[in-house]
Amino acid sequence: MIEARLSLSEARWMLQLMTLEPTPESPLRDPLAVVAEVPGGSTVEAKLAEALTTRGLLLSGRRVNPFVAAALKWLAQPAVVWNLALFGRGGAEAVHLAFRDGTAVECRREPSGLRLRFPLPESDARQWLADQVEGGRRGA
Amino acid sequence: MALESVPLTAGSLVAFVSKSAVFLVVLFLKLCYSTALYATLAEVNRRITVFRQGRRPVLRALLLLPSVVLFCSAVLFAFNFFRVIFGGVGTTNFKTLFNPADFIFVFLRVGFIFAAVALGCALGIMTGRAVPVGRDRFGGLLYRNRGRYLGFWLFTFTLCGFFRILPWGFATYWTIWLLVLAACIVTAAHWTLYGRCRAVLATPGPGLPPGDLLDLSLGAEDAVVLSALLQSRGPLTPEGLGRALAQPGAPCLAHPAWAEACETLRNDPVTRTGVLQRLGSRGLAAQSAGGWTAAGAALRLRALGFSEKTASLTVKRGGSARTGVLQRQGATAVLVNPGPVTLTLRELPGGKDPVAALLESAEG
Repeated sequence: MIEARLSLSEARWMLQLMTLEPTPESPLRDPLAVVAEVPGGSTVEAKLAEALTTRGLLLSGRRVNPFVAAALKWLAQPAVVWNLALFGRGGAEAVHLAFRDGTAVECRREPSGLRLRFPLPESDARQWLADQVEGGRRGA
Repeated sequence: MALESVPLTAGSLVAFVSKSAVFLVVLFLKLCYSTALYATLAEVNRRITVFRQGRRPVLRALLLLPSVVLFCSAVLFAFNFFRVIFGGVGTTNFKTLFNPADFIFVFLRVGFIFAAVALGCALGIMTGRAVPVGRDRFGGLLYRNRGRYLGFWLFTFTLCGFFRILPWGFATYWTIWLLVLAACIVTAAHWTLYGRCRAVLATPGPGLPPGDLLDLSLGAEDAVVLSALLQSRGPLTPEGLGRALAQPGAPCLAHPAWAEACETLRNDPVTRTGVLQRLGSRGLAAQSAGGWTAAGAALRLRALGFSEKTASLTVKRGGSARTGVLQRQGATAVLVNPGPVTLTLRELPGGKDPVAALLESAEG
């Protein structure tokens, strides 16, 4: 299982590079709606590129790491999405699972941006749901 | 004349300038102290206001507040330590402490302070035990705020600060004694409350006793009225129901269709009566002399009270979405499907896997 953390600006810019637009079902649509598009050739873009390259998420020639690219594609244009909200002990957490081509990507909102975990075989999704519902952080 | 009589020498000039500088520095420090004191007070007041407004306190907040109170009290106590313990004996007159009579007074003063600590802790524990603690519908904590002891501490702290700023330290001893008492009350009350909240959270819900499993299907209007009946502490007349719907709970506003039904019912007494009669005919409400109350399966729903764990799963596929909500308490699991037209509530039988049922209901 691969885990990647992206800020909202980084996710937005990577989608721009991949010329992908989140569909209405996509769990990325709402969080990224509040982030402005990154202008090409700007210093912001240069900084984003540098940060992503350092973490190995961007390869030479501004190619998105193929694993991350696949995860973002599943997330941006999924076939099915599970939005799971867990409440208990006064706390709450939300997690999304986006399915496409028999594989799923888990996406969580964090204060710093998004945390992605992938790939999750579709056959394991039911077990994933049981793990989340039975365990999990549950706030306070 | 007086000025003219003083010989103006270089030494007197230096002494005058140095004394003025010291005076200005002391004045500045006092101003800083009083500003910091009242800024702290303003911050404490803000935290207390936020704390009182919060209906779902986080456990950490219960410890944060007494920490702030203790810190502020300790700082003020430290500033007054010598005056409180040794009375009029200044730091330059320590030799007078060797007088046995002064020793007795010092012991008496320390004893009074310890009495304030003991009394404050006892009162605080009593206060903390008197606060009713319960759980909200999502398993969070609820308690009825009785924050007068916080007001008492704030008043005492202000009083102490005021007397500290005055040059003579008038009534310092008794105000500090009150501050120690108030700080101990707040600390002991919050630690007691913290312990009780931890105990409530650690106690598993009993679940529902064996009986007919819940299986309800309600339209938007029926759901809104039943929700109001379940939340009411006593019987509701159709007029009382209208007043109750003027301030609907969060679940009634969660879906536009329910919010619309709520608004319609609030303004239409005929429909309200009709819905009450419909619920009555289904055995979910009963009419008594005082008005309408929940009955039958609705009582079983109310007995559930809160859910320890709630999981809401929405499955989105091809432009459509369906939501299932699983609420659990002890061995009881209730599956809710909140739709725009119909709200269904189904209690799952003992052997059924709740996660599988949740997925089934959300996938449709």
